Amino acid sequence: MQADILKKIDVLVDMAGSSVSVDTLQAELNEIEKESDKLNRELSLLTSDAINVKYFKASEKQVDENIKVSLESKIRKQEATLDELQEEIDSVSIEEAKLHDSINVIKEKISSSNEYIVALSERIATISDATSLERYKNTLEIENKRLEDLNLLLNKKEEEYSIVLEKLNYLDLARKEIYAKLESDKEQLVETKASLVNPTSYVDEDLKKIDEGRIDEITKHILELDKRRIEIITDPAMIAEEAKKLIDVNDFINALSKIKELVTIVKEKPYMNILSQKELDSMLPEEFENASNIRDEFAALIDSKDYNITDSSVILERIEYLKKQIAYFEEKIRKAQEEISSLDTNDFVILNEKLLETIKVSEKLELSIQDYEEIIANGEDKTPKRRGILNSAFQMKQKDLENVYMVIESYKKDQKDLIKRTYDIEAIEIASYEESIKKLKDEIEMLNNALAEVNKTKDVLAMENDKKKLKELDDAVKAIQHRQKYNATPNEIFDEIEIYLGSVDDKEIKDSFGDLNIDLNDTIVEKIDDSQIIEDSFKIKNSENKDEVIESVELEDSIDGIEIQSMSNINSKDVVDLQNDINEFSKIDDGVENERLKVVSIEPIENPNQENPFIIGEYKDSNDEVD
Amino acid sequence: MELQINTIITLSNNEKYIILSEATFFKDKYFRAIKMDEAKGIESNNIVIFREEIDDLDIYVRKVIDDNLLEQLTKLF
Repeated sequence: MQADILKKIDVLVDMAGSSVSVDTLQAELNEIEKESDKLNRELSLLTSDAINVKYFKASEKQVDENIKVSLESKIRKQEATLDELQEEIDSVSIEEAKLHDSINVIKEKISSSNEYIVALSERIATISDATSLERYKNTLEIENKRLEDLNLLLNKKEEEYSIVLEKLNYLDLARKEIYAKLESDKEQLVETKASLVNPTSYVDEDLKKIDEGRIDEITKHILELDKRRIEIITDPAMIAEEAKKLIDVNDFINALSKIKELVTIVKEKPYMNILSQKELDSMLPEEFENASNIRDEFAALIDSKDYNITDSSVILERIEYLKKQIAYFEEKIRKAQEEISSLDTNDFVILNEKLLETIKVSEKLELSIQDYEEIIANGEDKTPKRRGILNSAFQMKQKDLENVYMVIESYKKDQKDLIKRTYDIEAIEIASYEESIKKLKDEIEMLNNALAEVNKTKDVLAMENDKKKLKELDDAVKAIQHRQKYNATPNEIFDEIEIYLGSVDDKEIKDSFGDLNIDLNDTIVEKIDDSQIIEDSFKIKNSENKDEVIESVELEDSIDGIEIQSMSNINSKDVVDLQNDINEFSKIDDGVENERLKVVSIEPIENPNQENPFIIGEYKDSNDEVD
Repeated sequence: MELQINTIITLSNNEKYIILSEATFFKDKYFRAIKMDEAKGIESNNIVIFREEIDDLDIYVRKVIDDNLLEQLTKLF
């Protein structure tokens, strides 16, 4: 039976159209697992906390620690120097102030002395007394000497003041420089301290970026591997293999679950999700014929298809139209040239001849008039009457000549019109037609170029589309052929497997009861002997043929003669019969009570021998009694 | 937990049954069970067949009453 089940599973795999062997898939899966493990290990290393050590630049932190200590020391010294400088500046400032005051005092004295000297000099200039003069002169001399001393002192003090100012400037400059340096060092110290406090300051970002790139790469690769892994483990062949393994270990529930997965995959294939095989049997031949015809017709169509023309018809039609237009204009040119030729060779010649003839006539008339003029001028043998006749004839001739001249002019005008007409035809009409033809030819050339491009593109697209369509049509035919190989639907195969496994399962159950010393058959037989197993709507009573191998019961009230067989007595024929019954049953109603009762608890029978001695003991005893 | 052989189930009407055997028929699971009395003895004349119905996480049972279905199921148990 197990072999049958395995065979049916293989049929399902075949139905799913899986072409890769389990060994190949398993080998690939193993490779994927290995690769995946390797990548996960690498990823784990790259994403672990320990990786931060790799990025930590310890030496740089040590350098910053040293810088911090150095800066702190430097700042302390600079602050001390600044204090000293400030003290010195204050001291020099006091000195500067003193010198300034001193210079002012001297200047005031000099000013006073000058005023005094001026006054003395004025007095001396006005004094007459010798003694007094002498005294004033001495006083003036003394004052001049004093002024000289004062000037000397002023010079000295001003030099001193200049030195003090220079010193003050120097000190101020030095203070400013040191202050600027101090500020800069303080800023650097703040930055250094911030770096020391910030945990990310000493991370090797370049290395980290490289690793992050690698993490992305690994993640993508792992996702691809996972995708492929899922494809493999959901491959029909793999699912079937798992189901077989589960059957081997008698885990039928999970095996059925796997087979159900397989059936779901199979049902996604064309023609696999039709419930009834009968429907398929009646439908598939016609479907196959239709699909084959459609495919073959399309293949024939492709063979005869001109990909260059089909999609360029509009352009080609335009080209044809343009060619007709060219022909039309060429015809016009031809007719115009014919007209020109006719005008040149016929009309013009005729006119010319007429003109020449008329000119000859005019020449004759002119000669005749000359004769008349000579005769009239000579006046010999002429009577007045004769002269009158001559004059009258002369005037008539002149009149005739004027008329002839008029005719000549008319012919000439006609000739001019003719020439103008030929010129118009030649230079305007024909030129216009030729211009139109040129434009048409240009458009044709452009369209031909476009056609060449369009043909290239359209060719490929149309051919690809047709190939794709042909493949789809061929696949449809193959799908039908594939489906025709099987004489059962996936659901039917699943049901058969389910029934087989259910049968085995039941046998297992029976065996397990055997282990517990519970014999279901005995139970039934005991109930048969009691003849009073009454269910809601029926009674099971004693079989009349209890000596037979197959025990039977009758449903007293409603069903007569229904056999209850122990599973050990059900053979393959019974299963076939059962299948028929199942098919038959598909026609009957649900068959259960309307009332649905919830199962509120499920407790295992911990020790059947003790908990339910009745079941074991009574059944055994009863069985013994029956025997 | 699912209905299993060798288990005692208590229904919402407080009736208790021992599950004796199991069968699958048309993808439905059926259980043959015998009713227990209050003293945890069994009512030997009260054997029923339940059809299991799972609704989300809850398990329900309905008694099989149709004669034809009973006939089919008894072949399976």
